[in-house]
Amino acid sequence: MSPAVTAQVSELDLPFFDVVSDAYEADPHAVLDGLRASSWVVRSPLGFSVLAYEQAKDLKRSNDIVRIFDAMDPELSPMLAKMAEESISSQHGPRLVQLRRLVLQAMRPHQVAARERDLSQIMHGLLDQVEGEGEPDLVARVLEPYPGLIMGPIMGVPFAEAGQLDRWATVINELGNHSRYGLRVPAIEEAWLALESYLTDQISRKRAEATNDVLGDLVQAADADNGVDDHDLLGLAMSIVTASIDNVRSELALTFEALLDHPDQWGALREDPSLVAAAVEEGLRYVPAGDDIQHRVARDTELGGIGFAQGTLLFIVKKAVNHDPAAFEAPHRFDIRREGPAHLTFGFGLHACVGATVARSALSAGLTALNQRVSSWERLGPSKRAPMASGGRPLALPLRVTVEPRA
Amino acid sequence: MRLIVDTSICRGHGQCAFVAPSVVTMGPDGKSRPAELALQGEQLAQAKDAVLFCPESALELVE
Repeated sequence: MSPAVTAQVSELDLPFFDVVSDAYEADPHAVLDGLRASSWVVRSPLGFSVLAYEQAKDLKRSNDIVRIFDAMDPELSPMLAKMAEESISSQHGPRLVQLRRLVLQAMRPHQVAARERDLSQIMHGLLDQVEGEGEPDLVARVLEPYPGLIMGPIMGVPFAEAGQLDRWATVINELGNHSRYGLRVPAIEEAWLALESYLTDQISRKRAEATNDVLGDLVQAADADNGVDDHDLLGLAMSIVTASIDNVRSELALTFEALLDHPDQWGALREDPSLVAAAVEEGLRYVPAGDDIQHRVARDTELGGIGFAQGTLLFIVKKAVNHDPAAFEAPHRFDIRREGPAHLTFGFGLHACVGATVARSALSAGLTALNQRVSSWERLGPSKRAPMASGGRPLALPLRVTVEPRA
Repeated sequence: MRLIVDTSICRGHGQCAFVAPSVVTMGPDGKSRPAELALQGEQLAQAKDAVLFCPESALELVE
């Protein structure tokens, strides 16, 4: 039974969440805690933002509020607006089930686990290149290349082409940067078409010769399903590449930084590598990649006793809901042995991230290799970061570090 | 074949009840509750989907 609607959200005097303010850059949790203390939902530049854990889950359970993939203005780019509308993230009902089934068939947990050793070797290879240096730029030379390079074994594309795949995907992901994507539309469109063309070619190759990787399995699953066509298949391949590279890059750097800033936990992981799965989960909770998850109210509805009109844009702020003190004990404490509820970094419910298994595997393999090789370090200064509104990942981590040879 | 759930792993996403409505309902605790049925035909096909779709790998088909 839903609570009675006491007011429309548009009529409420709610605080404003300024996602590009200096205060948010300097201390995002101080801003979010202050806002959450007065209301679980606040105004934000494009609509309203949900800051509390339980209300975020209720939003995810609502049949009246739909996930959308970027609030792209069709006048800014008809092409990208159509892409966003057709994306798996924007589907629901039987169509969503049909597309998720294909992706999940290509990402079965045992198949993903079987590739983890290849991912770990890629991280070791990157670390070999900085071994013995005192102050290597670990972000630029190790953490940034890894998520693109692992597309080689994951998607079954030539290793030498993974870097190009990465560059296209990274430009396309500027879509997520609401404050300035307008300026970047021509570059994003160009990268989109180039990546489509590349993946179309790769799909043809997989058809000519079946391979055991995500793209190969996706092609086979799509070809066995009469309900999907080549356009659907290409769209899924695009979603997998663009959703995985940047998110893994952000999450890996953020979690690595959190672990280094908590040396006891880095040491605990060195002593017991089986803690890596828990370390990955705590990283996802504590420092989620990306800032928010976007939704549109499909028909007039209520949430937590507040009315939301059709068309309203609603954002779940991952950093805020993962640090809600109503859900997490001492939420700002980084603790890889933490018990309690699960984070919402992969979303929740029918749209829960379909690539979570692959993302967790990529993070586990990468962090395990880093943990084995980085034995001591000293911070030389604060990190330089991407804007908080795009996740705040470290762009530079000034460190003096000892990278050991492979065991 | 029967479908079973590990409720210590289930987080209540609801994927299983969505893709296998003839086999799974969500309990009052918000967690997956598969029917205790010997599955065949369409119900077995739905149950296989439920296993595939679970984001937590909480469901299993057993003899």
